Amino acid sequence: MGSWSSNLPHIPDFDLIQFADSEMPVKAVTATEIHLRTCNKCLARLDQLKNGAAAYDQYHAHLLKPTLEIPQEWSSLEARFESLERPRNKIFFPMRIWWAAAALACCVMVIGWFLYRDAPSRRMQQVLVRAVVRTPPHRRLQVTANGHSWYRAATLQGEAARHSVADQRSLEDTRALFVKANYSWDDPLSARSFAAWRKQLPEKRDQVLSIQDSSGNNRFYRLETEAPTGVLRIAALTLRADTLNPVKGSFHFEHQRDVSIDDAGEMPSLPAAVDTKNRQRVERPAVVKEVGPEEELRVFAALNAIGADVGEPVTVDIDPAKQQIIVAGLGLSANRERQIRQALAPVPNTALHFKSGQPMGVENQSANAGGNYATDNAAPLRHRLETQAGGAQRFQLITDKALDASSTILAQANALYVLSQKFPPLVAFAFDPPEQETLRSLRHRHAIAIEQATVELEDALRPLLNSTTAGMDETQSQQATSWEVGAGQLYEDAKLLDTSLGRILAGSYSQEVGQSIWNKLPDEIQKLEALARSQENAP
Amino acid sequence: MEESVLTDSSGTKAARLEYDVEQIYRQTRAAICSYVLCLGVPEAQAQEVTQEVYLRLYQNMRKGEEILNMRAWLFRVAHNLSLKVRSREKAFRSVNPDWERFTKRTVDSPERAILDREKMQKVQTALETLSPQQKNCLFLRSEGLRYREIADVMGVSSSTVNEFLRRAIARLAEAADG
Repeated sequence: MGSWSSNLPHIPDFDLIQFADSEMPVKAVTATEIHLRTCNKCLARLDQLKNGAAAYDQYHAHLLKPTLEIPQEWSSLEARFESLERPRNKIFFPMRIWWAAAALACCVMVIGWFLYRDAPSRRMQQVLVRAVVRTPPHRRLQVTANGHSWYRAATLQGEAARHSVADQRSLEDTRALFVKANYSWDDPLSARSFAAWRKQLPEKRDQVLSIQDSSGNNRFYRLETEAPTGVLRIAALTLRADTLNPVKGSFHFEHQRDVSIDDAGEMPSLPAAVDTKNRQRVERPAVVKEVGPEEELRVFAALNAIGADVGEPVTVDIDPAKQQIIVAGLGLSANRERQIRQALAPVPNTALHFKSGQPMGVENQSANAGGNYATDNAAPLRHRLETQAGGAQRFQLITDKALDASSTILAQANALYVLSQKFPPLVAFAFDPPEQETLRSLRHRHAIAIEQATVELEDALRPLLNSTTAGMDETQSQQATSWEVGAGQLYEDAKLLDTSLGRILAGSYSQEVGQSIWNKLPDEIQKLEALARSQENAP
Repeated sequence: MEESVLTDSSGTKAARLEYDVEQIYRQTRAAICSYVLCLGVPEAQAQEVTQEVYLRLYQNMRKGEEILNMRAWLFRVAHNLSLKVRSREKAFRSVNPDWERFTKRTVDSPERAILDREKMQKVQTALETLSPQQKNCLFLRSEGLRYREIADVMGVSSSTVNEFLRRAIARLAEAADG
């Protein structure tokens, strides 16, 4: 990268941006101006880039900066100057003032606790009151429990309904659970039933969350109540924010039994012969629509929105009966689990299985696994690198940055590889245009992240690889046969690079092997960057 | 922002220095604070972090340190302090633009307002695909810093800044065109 050479047919973006920002070295300005007078393509590109920069400037001035104003009054620095001058004076307050301050702080904390302890409950109450008065439309539900799924009417009335599918074991089990928990089975996906169950709890913890679906177009409230005792431990009801109609219920019973109830659209009309009075009573065992790659892709998109599809011990699979998308997480924090629940709340037919324990992590032939190598022999190379870096401390900083960038590359490459395995062209070909666009957008995001992390890696290593990386060709591109083949290659190369970097920077090598790894490193980085760029440009 | 060099050695030196720093603080605190917030420092701590930048300035000037480029120096210290504060935070606070306020601002016509909003939404979508470094470069560029100054603030080379901006502006250009 550098100033534009007039030997090139067109001016690269790098230089056009420099030119537009008046950052171009004076000696290159004239050549650029002459070229621009005769080349419409470069002139058009310059205008395009200027438009992009101007759009950001407008965003910066009119949207971002006003958002970044703090509401508080600015205080003068005077008091802080004084505290700099007399930092110790404040310590010599009489003890009684300290005691008074401590007592006051305790009072404030107690009052604060009383004021705010019920805040989520109050908010939940407000939402429920509004939701209960809305009359739910005539809907049907999809109930999922014990790996089985079936449809039923949203509301059941009368005994006949309760015996209509008595031979369905899981249905009976599920009904029994709801009855035992004193939660209405006749109308399980309603604010009214949720409120009635919640009201009877002697102890409870409430949480109200405002969430958005992955498209950002729909907002939902998720009301979650946790009971420390009883049959039903956690019930969560997701309501559309605009209509307050419930769309999903998640019920976590004792002994790790989960039931999920989703709004499944309008109730289909029954044949005319059927008594319309009994229409709502019939609980139909299912002809359930199977879930497929489209639904799985939606889950990936929702996880991507919160960054949970990269470098986290979360797996996504379709269950063997093709009734649900199983999202499994291992060793995640409670907070992260909650975020994933929220992100997936608007996605129907998903089941979440979280387990505590040690995460498996991304497959990583690691880094520092080279225990067979004697680090003593590595000393000359290491010393040379430390000297080039400007000392051991500086070398350590470079090492940290480079290994961070490499982990990012590996995690993103893994995520891209997973997409290529789940949605190869034959599968993606059958997608509707919106799904195809979602897949493309996910792939591109990973590719961009890899490319950026590669630039950061190059930056970090620049002091050590000075002569070799200086000539790295930014414009070189790697031709891969198709994006999914490229994704596989990219993942393999990312693993290789991570291993090389880990060994070289951690000092796990002999002098000879170390030198050989070191010599190959620039090529490996360059190859990876080219692969990432070809992924980014892939259709 | 002009650097002020105090030459007298009388007892009023500290007071005059305080006055000078206070003036610089008044003129530049809004820009520095918005950068601090942009870097993810919680709103409650933003004023304190911003003031800390000027206290460092005061301390350095008291020690007689020569500050050649005040603006870049302030942004650099703000950058470093913010990263330190942010590393102690459990969750990264992202900036959510105030669309309501943007919509309410005075424009020539309702059509203009709709077009502006659409354009800004495209920019916002494009920004979501950028790395934090790229966004920081754009922010500092819009604050009027030169590439060399941005590089100094972020602790990278000028060519890296150029490269970050190339990628970011190319993506914004695509969004603005699309």
